[in-house]
Amino acid sequence: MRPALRDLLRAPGGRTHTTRIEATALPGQPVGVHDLADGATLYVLPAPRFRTTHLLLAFRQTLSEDTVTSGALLPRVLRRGTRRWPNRPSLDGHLEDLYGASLRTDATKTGDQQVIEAAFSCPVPESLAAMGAGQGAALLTELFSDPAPPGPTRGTGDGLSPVYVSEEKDALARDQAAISDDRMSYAHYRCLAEMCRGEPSALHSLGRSADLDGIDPASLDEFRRRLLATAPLTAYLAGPVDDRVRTQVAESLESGLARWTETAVAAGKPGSPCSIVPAPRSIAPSAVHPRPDREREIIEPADVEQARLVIGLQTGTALGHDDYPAQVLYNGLLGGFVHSRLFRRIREEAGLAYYAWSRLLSTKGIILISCGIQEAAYGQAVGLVRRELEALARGDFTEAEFEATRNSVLAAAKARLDSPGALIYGHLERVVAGRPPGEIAPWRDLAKVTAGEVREFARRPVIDTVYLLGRGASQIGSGVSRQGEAPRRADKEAKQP
Amino acid sequence: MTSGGKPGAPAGTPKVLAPEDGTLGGEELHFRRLPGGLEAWVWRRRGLQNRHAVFATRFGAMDARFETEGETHEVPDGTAHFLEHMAFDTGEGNALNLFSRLGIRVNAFTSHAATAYFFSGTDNFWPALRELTKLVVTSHLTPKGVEKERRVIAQEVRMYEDSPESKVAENLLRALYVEHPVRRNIGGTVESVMGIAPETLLRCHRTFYHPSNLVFVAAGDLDPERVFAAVATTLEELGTPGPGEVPASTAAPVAPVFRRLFPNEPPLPGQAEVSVRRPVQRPSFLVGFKDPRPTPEPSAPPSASPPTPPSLALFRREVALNLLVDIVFGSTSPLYNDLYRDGLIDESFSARYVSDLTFGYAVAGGATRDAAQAAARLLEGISGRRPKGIAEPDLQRKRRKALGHFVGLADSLEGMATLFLTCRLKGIDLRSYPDILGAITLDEVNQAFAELFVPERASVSIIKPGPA
Repeated sequence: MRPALRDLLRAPGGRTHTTRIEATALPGQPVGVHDLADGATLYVLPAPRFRTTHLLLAFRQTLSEDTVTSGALLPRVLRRGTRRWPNRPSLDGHLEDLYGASLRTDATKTGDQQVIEAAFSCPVPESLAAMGAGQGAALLTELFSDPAPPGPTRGTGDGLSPVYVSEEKDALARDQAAISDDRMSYAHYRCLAEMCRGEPSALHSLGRSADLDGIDPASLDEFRRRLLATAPLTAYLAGPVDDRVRTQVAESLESGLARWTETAVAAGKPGSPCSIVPAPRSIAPSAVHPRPDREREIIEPADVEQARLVIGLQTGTALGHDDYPAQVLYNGLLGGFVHSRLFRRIREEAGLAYYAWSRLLSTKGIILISCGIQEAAYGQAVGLVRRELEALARGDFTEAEFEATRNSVLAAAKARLDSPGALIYGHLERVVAGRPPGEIAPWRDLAKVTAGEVREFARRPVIDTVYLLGRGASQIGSGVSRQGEAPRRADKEAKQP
Repeated sequence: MTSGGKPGAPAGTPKVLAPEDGTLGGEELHFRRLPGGLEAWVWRRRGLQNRHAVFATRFGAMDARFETEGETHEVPDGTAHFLEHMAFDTGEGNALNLFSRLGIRVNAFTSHAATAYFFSGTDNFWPALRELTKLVVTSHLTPKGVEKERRVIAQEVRMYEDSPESKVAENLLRALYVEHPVRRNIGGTVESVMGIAPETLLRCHRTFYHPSNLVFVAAGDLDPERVFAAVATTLEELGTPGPGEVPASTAAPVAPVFRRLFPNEPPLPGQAEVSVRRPVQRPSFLVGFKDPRPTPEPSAPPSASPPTPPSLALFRREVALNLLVDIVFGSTSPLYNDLYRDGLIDESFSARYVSDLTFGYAVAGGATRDAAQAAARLLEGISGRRPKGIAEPDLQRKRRKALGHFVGLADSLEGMATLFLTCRLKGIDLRSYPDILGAITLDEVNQAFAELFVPERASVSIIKPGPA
C-alpha cells in the first residue's frame, strides 16, 4: 500500500514537514473608496464571484454609560418599520418580494466602540443584478431617516412610535436579564469586563437595565438624530456590482447624509426644542488595554453542569501595530487551531475539556483563553495553560509547529475572500483601529512573519485575569496569586535566560 | 423510471432525476459511482478560494437497533456520535492535528440519520482528501483511545446539558415520539457514554461505514475527474490492509448485509406537554406537530440509485410544508406579530419543518417571558387560522423568497454541499428543488395545513427558570 499522509509529510531523515502554503501571489480584494462627507465613507468591494449583494451602514460611537443603552435599543426599534413600510408584515413582505432579501439591525461592540448597524443582503438572480443594491441602499437610508411614525394611520406624525419603543424596551430588558443563559459568551464577557474595569469596553453591548426607565420615545429619537448628524459612518457595498450600482448607492447615501445634517442644523437653531449641534464625525480609535500590575482571580458562582474557565491575557499589541502579524501567529501556536498547544494539552492529552482555544480581541491587545471543564480540574487546567504560556515565552516551539500554524493562519486569511461578511467586518475592524487598508490581503503581512519574530513577541503576553464560572462550592486553588499579592515583575525581569 | 410524484399529483410534476451529470445552482455537477459502490459527486463552483469535501454515512443516532450476521444488536445512546469522535483516532494521534497542519479546517457532525465528516481549505486539498477518505473507511480505534475520548465526550454532553436550547428540543422529541429512536439523544447521556464498548463501535463501523452506505460530495473550483480518481485510488489501496492494520471496511468483498429495526410508532404524540425547570433566567418553549410516516419495513435504506418516487413525494411534502410553516409562523404572519406584540416571542423565534424517511414534524418556538402562555397562544392562533387557510399571494411571496435563498446558497460551498448531501441521503435530488417549488399548489398546502396543524398532533416542550 502507498504511504499515508503522515508518511508523505515526513521528509527523508524523519523530520516531519507540511505542504507549505504560499500566499504572496494571490491578488487581494480591491477596496474602492468613496468619500460621502467628512467622517462618512463608502467602501466598495466588487466581487463578481458572489451571487449575493451586501450592504452595511455602520455608525460608531465610543462606548459610554450615557449612550450604550440607547445605542442598543435604537436598532431594534428601527427594525420594526419605516414610514413607507410601517410594520413588520409590510416591511418583511417587501423583503420577500426582493427574492427573500435580508435586513438585519444590530448594536455590537468592537474594542471601545459601539457599532450601530443595519445590513441588507439580496440574492441576485442574473436578470435583476442592479435592482437589489439600489433598493437596499434606499431601504437602509430610509430605515435611519424615516422610522415608522407614531401616528395611528400609515405615515402620519413625526418621531418614533411609542408602541415600538415600549415593546423593544421590554424585549431588551429580557435579553439583558438572560445574558448568563449562554454560559460561554457570558464567561467571556465577564472576564473581559473584569479586565477592563473603568474602560469603555467593560460595558455590555446590550447596555444596562437601569437605564431603560429613563429612555422614552422623545429621548431615543433625539439620540437617533444626534447619531445621524455626528457619528462617523462607515458603509460597505460588496458583491457583483458595477459602476452604475456603485454610483446609485453612493448617491442614495449622500442624499441621506445631507438630510441628516440639515435636520440637525434646523433642530440646533435657537428656540428649537432640541439642541443637536452638528459636529465633525470623528471618534478616537480603540485604546489598548493597559498592562496589569498583578494577576487577579475571579470565581463566580453559577448552577452549571460544566464550569467555564476564561483566562485573559494582555499583549499590548493591537491591529495596525507592526508586530500584530506576529501576534496572530502566536495566538495560532497557543490556541487558534486544533493542532495548537491548548487543544493538544487540555483536550488530547489530559482529556479535561471538549473545547480549549484562544481568541484575539484585535483592537484591545487582549487574548482570551477559553475552555469548559469539570470544576475539580480547575487547578490542573490553569496549570496546563500556565505551562504552555511559559513554554512559548521561552521560545519553546518546533519548526513543524510554526509551519503548521503559518499554514493555518494563511489559509484562514485567504478563505476570507469567499465570505462577504468576513471581508466587510475584517475591514471595519481596521477602520475601528484607525487604519483602513486600500486592499484586503492580510496573508501578505502574515506570510512574512518569522519564527524569530514570534519568539520575540511571545515574551510579552501576561495573564491579567483568571475567571471561573462554576458552582464554586469547594475550595479551589488555581495557583493564581490572589488580588493584592505580589506585584508582577517588570517585563525585562520576566524574560527567561 | 423517469416519472414520479405521488399518485394523483398534478400534471407537470417534476421528474425523478437519475444520478447523472447536470447543473446545480448554475454550476456543473458531476456524478460517478466509485469502488465499493460509493456514490460520489463534484459540484464545480468556480471563483471561490476554498474547496470543500464531505463524506456521510447513513448511520446516525436513531440507528439504535439492527440485525447483522444473524444477530440483533441494540446500542447505547450516543454510539454514532462516539464513533464520529473515534474516526479521528488514527492510532498515531489525532487526525485533527494532521489536517490543521495543512491549513485545513476539518470537522464532523452526527444527526439522527447520518454522520458526516468534512473539511474546507484554500490549499492542500489533495492530501486532505486522501486523509479524509482513509479516516472514514478505516478504523484504528483501540480500547485505550476509547477510554480517553470518553472523558472528552462527557464534557461535550455536559456542555449541552447547560444549554436550554438543546434541552427544550430534546424534550420535545421525547414528547412527540413514543417508540421511534429519533427520541434518543444524539450525544447520549454521561451515563450511556460510559457504557459504550469498543467492540460495539467497531461493529457499527464494519456495518455502516462501507462505501456502499456512504455519499461523497466535493465542492469548489475542482477538476471532477481528478477528484473521482483520487478517491477511487485511495479506496482501492485501502482494500489491502497493511501489516498490523485493522482491515478497512472496503476489504469486505461485498457490502455488509444489515437490517435496521424500527418499532411501530403511533401516529399521535405520546405526551401533550413536557415541562422542566433549569437554572436559567429566561423561559423557552417549542411546539411540535407530528407528521406521521408509515413504519418502515426492516431493511437497508434505499441506496438512492435511482431515486425512488416515494423520495420525491417526500421532498415535495418537505418543500410544501416549509412554505406553509413560513406563511403561518413567519414574521409576516398575524400569529407572529400578535405574539411579538405581547412579548411572548422575540427575535430568537424560529419555525421549520424537519423531515426524514421515517419521521417528520413541524416545530416553532424560542425564548419567551411566559412559556405556558406562549405555547397556548400559538396553538390558539393556529386553530383560529386553520379554517381560513392560506391565500395565493402569501404562497407566491414565500415561493419567491425560497427561490432567492436557493440562488444565494451558491455563495456557500459548505451550505450547498451539506444540503445536497442530506438530500442524497434521503434519496432526493436537490436539482429538482426549483421545479418542485414551482409545482406546489395552494390546495396542496392548504390540505397539509388542515391535516398537520391540529391540536391532537401537537406536543409542547417548556423550560422554566428554577433549580433543576
